[in-house]
Amino acid sequence: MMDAMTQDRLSKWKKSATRLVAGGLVGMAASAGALVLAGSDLVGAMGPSRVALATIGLIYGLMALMVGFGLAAPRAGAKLLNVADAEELREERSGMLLSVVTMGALGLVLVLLAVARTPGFAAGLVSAEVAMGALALSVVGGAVASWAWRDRFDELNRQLGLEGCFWAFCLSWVLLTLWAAADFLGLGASLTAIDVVTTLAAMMLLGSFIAVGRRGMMVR
Amino acid sequence: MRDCRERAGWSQGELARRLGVSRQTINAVETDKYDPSLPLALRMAQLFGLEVRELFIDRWTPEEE
Repeated sequence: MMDAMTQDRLSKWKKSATRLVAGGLVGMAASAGALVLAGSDLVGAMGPSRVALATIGLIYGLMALMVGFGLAAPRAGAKLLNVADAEELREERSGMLLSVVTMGALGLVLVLLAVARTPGFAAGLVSAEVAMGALALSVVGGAVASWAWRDRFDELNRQLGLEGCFWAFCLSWVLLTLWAAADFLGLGASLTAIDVVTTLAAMMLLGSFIAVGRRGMMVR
Repeated sequence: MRDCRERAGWSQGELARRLGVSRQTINAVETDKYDPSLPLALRMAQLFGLEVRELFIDRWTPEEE
């Protein structure tokens, strides 16, 4: 017979998994909606790799919007986000604002990459130079910001960051190795360079959720 | 730790400010979702005038030889 602690843990895992799946579905639905708005011609010309990249970018953007909304309207935001109350949103405003900027910038860069014009994609909305410039700017900006803001994050933030990166690496390693090997052996879909970018961004997101979920922090 | 904080009349935010961590960290420690680092545990104990082992419950006991 299960003891109370095991039952509680199971219940939290179920709640976390439900939230993760629900969040994923909402993100995918919102991204699909945005892609439909972009027009079927453009989406059709993009192909699966670009669509996948844009979807992940839009999910990052959507998360930035949700947290941004929470900060702008803490009372309503407290019901939407995983925080104790509106006061927590006010107290943690500066740290969460950094998350909004980081996720928003990453989402924007991924979408720009997905819609960039390349020799095989003349219908692209921005030039390759613009997309590459935005990416380079975000990498440099991210490095500078990480250094400048290193003291703004406390030990829990750092620990969750480390655990998230650990999971992201493990998942990416397994996925990319299997995919690349299958491609190399002629047994599966080809792995393009942009698929690597998509996989890393997606696994970083999933890794962060796993790190938070394992601690039971997806539910209050 | 929640008892000690409430006895001191501090909110989670107030304790977080005194310890230089986020309120999320205090909440996670109180709900057993995060074990603080040794430096933070020492600071918490010092703030409440207690020993670390009085502040945190650990049911581990060494195996008898």
